[in-house]
Amino acid sequence: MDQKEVFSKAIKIVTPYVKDVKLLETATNESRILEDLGVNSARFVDIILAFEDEFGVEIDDESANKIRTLGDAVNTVIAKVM
Amino acid sequence: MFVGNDIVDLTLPETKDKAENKSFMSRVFDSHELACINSAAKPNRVLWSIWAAKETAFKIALKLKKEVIFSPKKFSVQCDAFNAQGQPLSGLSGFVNFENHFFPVRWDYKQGYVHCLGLGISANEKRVKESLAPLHKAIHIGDTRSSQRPYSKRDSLILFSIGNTINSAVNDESHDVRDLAKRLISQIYDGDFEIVKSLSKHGSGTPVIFSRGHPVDGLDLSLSHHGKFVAAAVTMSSPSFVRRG
Repeated sequence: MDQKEVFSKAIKIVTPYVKDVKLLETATNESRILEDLGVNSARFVDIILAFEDEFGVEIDDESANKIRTLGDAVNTVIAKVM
Repeated sequence: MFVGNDIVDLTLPETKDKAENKSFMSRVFDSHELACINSAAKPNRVLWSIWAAKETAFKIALKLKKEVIFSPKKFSVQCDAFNAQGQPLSGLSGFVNFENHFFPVRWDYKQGYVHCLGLGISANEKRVKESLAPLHKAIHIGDTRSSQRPYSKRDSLILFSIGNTINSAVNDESHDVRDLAKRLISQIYDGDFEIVKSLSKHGSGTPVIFSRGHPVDGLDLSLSHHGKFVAAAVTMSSPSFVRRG
């Protein structure tokens, strides 16, 4: 699974949780999940759980707290599945 | 003295029926909290009350220790107040235990929200009840758009305010909550100031009040926004900053 594929899945995962889906049209690896996409902290937990389900990985709180951007989420998943 | 606060908009669809989301529940709440939620007459209200208390305590802990991460189960909320009353009521108070520090918190409910206010008194287990006293004296500023009112010199002044963004000219909660905070701070601080976000090791931010390029000692601020609500709380540990009437 390459970075582009994971990024594409990541966009689908976060779509139900962002403040405005239009924000995702210009989203990049550098997009900050909380600040730029308008995700609140409770929904961030939902996103972490959705990543775990989608990719079959476990993302503990320590790892979750290091995820600030979509790119961070993608890299975390890739590191866990490899 | 540090302050924390958190607000949850209970009218948002995402806050409904959250107790049925088993993955979320088991990730966030410990067994005591789950029992408290499941036995409540209004489980959803208790659920978000406990969540708000965890967030409040996290914001305080982050000010005490920059490397703290938000690990929800490590912020354990003592729910005795809900069990005793049978339902969440404004003015109820409790504690959040984080690494054997007991942070006092108080909840308020109105017009579709739950608001939690907490203090970083870091009481030990034997003195937790005493630590609740300042919270019960906290002043809710209902309308900070009204003319500024002077406060006399007093220790441990805690002010908080809650607003909504329905009539906001900008679609930016971050702007709105800072606007609310500036009006709140102006109740007790005369000087020019700005609110700056200070980032922790893990990127979580805490607001800091700056004046002329330097942090203002003795004033501490907490911000929160969710849905259509914004909330701010400020505490003052140095009487020299009190506005004199």
